[in-house]
Amino acid sequence: MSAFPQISSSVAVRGRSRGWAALALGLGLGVLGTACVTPPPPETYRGRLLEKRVVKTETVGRLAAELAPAVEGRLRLALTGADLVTVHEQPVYETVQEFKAENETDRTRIRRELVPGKLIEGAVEQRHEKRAAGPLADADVTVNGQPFRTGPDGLLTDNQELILRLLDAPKSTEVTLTVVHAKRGQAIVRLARADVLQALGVNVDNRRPAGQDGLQVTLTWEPREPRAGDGLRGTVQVRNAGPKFVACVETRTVSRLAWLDGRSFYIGGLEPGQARSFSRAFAVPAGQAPGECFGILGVWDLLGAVSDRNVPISLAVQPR
Amino acid sequence: MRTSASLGVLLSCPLLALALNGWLGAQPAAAAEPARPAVAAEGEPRFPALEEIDKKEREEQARRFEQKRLVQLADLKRLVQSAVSRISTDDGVSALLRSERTLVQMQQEKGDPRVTAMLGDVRRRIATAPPPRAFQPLPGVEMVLVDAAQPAFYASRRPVTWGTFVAFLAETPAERSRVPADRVRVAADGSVTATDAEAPATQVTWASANAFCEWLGRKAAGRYGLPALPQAKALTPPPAVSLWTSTEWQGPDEAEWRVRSTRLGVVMLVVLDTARVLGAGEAVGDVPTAHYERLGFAVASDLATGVEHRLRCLKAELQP
Repeated sequence: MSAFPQISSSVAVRGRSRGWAALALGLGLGVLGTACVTPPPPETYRGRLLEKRVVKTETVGRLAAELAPAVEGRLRLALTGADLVTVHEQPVYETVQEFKAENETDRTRIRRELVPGKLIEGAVEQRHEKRAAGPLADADVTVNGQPFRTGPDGLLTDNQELILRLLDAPKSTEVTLTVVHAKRGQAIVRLARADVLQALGVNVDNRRPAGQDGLQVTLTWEPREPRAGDGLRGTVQVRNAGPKFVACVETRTVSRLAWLDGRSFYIGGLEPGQARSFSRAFAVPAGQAPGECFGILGVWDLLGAVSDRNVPISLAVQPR
Repeated sequence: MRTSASLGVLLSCPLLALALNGWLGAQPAAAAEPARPAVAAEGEPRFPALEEIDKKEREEQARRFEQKRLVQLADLKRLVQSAVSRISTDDGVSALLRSERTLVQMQQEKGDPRVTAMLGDVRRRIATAPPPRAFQPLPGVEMVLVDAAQPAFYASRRPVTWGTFVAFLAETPAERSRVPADRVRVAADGSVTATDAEAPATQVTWASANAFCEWLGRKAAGRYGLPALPQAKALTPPPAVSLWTSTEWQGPDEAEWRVRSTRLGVVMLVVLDTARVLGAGEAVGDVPTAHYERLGFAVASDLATGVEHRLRCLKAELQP
């Protein structure tokens, strides 16, 4: 019994808004009726691609480096620029209207008409392009942190023997160079020892038989009596005075002085009567005490050490 | 002749002689002669009385010889005991050598197990005698026992001086060009003198120092060489100049060392840098062709060389 009065109360509330509900219902029916009577507008579709509208272009400079043939025993890197362009494009299509009867499934009976002046814009797309920018001429770069400047032809000469110094380490069979340009970023170059020898023009033929009896080794210095703090060049000349081909000739300095120690001179294969020279740069430290500096130029070839051809090194360093 | 000789031999046996006499039928009356001495092998008659005298003389001689030998052995025993009590001195070893010589003579005179046993004992004691505290293989080179280090060894009391080194240069002309011109004078007749004979021979390469040791070994019939690093460190007092050693220097980089020693056949040697010539620590490696103002060398030898040298000298003194 107690629930009835509540229901009555609820009905009473509904009774108060009955007028508004009737009005809403009438309006709804009116709209529905109109919809049933008016035919739906024809659907529009994407037609032909008219163009790709460039919305935005982003260009990022890139750097490329590769080993170039050495000149006078000096290794060179060819630096070239390359731009990485990112093009943001938006496709634009014509608009096509489709006319068909209700529930029509026969495609031949469907009619399509171009909507003049109305275009459909597609989603923005990205396209990447790599554009060669030519040699990186007269540019300041760093190679493994050391500053260099390229020439007008984009060539960087390794005057500091950075590459050769890395290869001087006994364990290194390849070197990794990181070339950095302020605007174009960095390029990483990996060079195998064989690549470097090829760039140096060294005859890497290791055919047998090979003989070492006729090897004549000389070492000259320029200047002959350097001062502390000076740079100097050591030139090794190896001549094959023997009757047999000599393969893979290499010489290397040994000294207790770090600046004089561990420099390899790549001579390579020598035909009978052939001679070849190789120069390396040295720098006497400013703190080097005046006096004689000693070392040994060791020689080996494909057959092993040629100890009896080792050349004693004695450099008289003068006071500054 | 042959038959008569055979008969002579057969007649030396009395029984056979009698039998033969009967068989041959010769001189039948002779067999009846009594107490006639047998005919000697040479046909000489025997004289038992004289033989008795001879026998007694021989026995007397043997008795005297035995008495003499007993006295000799007793004397030698005392001599050996005395020698053993001062075995660490040259006198003790010399006494043993005298004993050995006497025993050898006794053995040659007449073999005797007692002599043989004593000779073996003496020789064992000589072989196990402590090494001499010092010896002098060459004038100016005094080798002293360094037993603070194990194993003990001999080292020159001081670094080799120019006064000693010039003796080597005099016999090794090829080495003269490798020493400083202001340290030695070469006369027209080829004699070499030192400008300062007492000064240590410095500015000498490892190769020259090593050649000196080899020369000394040939000269003094022993095994001489440069001291190894632990031996050089054990020298007391520490030498005033830095010293070459026979120890190979490997350095901190094993790969670099392998290239040096295997590929190039170059060995770097440790310098005990007490005079701080090289200024890079106590033990520094350098090439064998290096030479510096305050870098000299000492000589080392093993214990056997000292022992052999002493025995050679003492035996020479014992020569009549």
